[in-house]
Amino acid sequence: MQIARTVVLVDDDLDDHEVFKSACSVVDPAIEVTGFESGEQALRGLAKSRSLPDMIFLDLNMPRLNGIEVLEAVKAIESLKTVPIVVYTTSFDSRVRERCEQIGAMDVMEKPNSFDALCEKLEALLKVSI
Amino acid sequence: MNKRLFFIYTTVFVLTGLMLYLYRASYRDMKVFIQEVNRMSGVVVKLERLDALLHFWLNNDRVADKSVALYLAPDDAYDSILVATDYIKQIALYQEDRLRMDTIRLAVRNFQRLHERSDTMLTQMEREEFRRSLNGMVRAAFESTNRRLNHSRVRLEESTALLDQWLVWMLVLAGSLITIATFYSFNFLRQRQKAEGFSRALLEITNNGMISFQPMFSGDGILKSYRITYCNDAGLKLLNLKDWRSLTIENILPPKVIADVRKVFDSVLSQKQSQILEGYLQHGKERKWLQAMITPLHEGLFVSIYNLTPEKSYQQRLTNKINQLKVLNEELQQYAYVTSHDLQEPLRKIQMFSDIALNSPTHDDGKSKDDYFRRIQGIAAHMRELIQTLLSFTRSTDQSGKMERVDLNAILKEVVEEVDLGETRATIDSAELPEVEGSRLHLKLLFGNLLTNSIKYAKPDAPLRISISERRAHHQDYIDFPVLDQFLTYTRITVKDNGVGFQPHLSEKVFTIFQRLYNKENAQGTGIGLAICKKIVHQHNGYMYAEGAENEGASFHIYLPLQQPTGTD
Repeated sequence: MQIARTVVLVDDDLDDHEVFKSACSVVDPAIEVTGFESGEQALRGLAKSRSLPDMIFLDLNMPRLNGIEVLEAVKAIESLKTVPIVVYTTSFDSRVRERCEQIGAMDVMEKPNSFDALCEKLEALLKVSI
Repeated sequence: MNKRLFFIYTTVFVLTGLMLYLYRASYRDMKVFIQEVNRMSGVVVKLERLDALLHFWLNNDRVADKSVALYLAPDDAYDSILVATDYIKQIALYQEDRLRMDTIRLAVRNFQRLHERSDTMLTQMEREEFRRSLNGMVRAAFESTNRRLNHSRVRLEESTALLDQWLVWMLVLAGSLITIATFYSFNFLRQRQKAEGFSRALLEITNNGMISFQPMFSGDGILKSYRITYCNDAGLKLLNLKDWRSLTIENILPPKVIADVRKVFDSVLSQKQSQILEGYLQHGKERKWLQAMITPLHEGLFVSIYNLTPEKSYQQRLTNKINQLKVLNEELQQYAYVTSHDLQEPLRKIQMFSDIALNSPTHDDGKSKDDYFRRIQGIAAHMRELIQTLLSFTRSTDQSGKMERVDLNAILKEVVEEVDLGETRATIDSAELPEVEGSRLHLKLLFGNLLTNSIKYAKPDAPLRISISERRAHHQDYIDFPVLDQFLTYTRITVKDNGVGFQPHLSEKVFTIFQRLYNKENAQGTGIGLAICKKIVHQHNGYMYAEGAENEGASFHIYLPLQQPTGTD
């Protein structure tokens, strides 16, 4: 079983970045997390990078370019098409889930309230991927 | 006419006819009587002459009547007697008299024959007897004639007496009937006058306009127009007229509605069926909504006009209020969602950090528990701030400021002086703004927040320029924004800046509480400035919306009524 090595989180909230990084290190300290604070930053960064991330976590509620638009943009890029994207958001809604899955997200995950829950979820996702 | 009156007049007429007939009958009777009298007096005269002749003939030595004796010899007397009896026979009316004459003739002839045949002189006694019997017959003839005359006279008297009585009664009856009829007519007339007076009073008292029209035809029978034959005071007022005489329908209505009104009039006139027409008359700033009921009346039309304006205005207000409420409701729903959302986030973070601090005492990246607790405190404080902001938002338009006349130019001046420009260089120029009815305090807050917002989102490299323009709302505005009350005049104020703007599809989101279009960390303030602006505008029965383009600044358009509607709130 392979474990993801590089993970990307796109979220405008710095606290969320911190929590996420902590959780990832609990799952596996070797995981490398790259954080982007906005959709535009993420797209620029992903285009520049030479290697593909193993998974992208994407927040929806972002100013200017929101998560859905980023999702569509990423799915439009040939080179990034294969990267699994997990929508990671507080606004959880069946319609949102449908829409995201329609565009091509692999999964939609609600930001949990407990750290343990987050770790469990991440473990499940990261350890199964690829 | 009254049935009773008709009956009375007919009866009087019949009575008069009857009286005339009776008069005629009695007149005839009288004619007959006179004829009889004439005849009979003729007979009497003749009988007198006969009597004289007989006397003379019988006593040829004595002169009975001077007039007779003078011209007759005794032999002539004999012939004269025969002639006289013959004549009497002819003019006698009754068989009885004729027979008497025959008897006298016979007797006289016999006597003469006797006288001629024998020489013996009749004795005095025989002559006397003969004379007596002849006298007797003539006397009898006299008497019977007289008797008959009396009889007729009595009959005539009786019938005239009866007739007199009849006539008196009929006159009395006719007289009383006519009196009654006159009395009735009088009463009838008075009642009708009372009724007319009543309806006239009604027409003058009612608030509805009452107008009657007569159609006007041209020489060749084509319907040209309608002229007013009566208009009550209320009608004059509703149509803004001084007098209705010599006015036609073209004189009282504006040209653009005449065609439609004429159509309805013509249709009511030809089909003899009522119709209702609704519309408004514009007199300067005043708009009067009217409802007219048009009914056919005799050969023309009768129109009753009801002033719908209060109802319409209430209807309008109601519709507007409903629209406003809808807008507010939507806002409220968003507001509830956003609020709960924005409050849940910090809560989640608190939980997360607490978890981390509790479960991982020593963390890999060296952070101590204290750090996390400090973070938690920070987040809790932020949450508190959010809640406070929320409260202040709900309270911000609570103290219902007194509505007064507010000079917006003065307010703008104050705001510009007080606003914190910070490090931004800014020029604010404004067109002349009108005076509106509103809450001074809140209108100041409105402009304050708008300016603050523009300053916050100014481009870092370009000097901020805010321009404020104004125009009155026109017809199209009311159509584009149905929230606006048709009965109010609005001013439309535009605040335009050359800041960073926003994407067009976010034009509604700018007003949402807490939603900031840029990073959470970068922007200061609480993110409710524009939301408060919108709330204030709503409370003033106005409407606000934003336009913008990314990097090309934003424009905020505000509709405010010059005067607040009265009484319906």
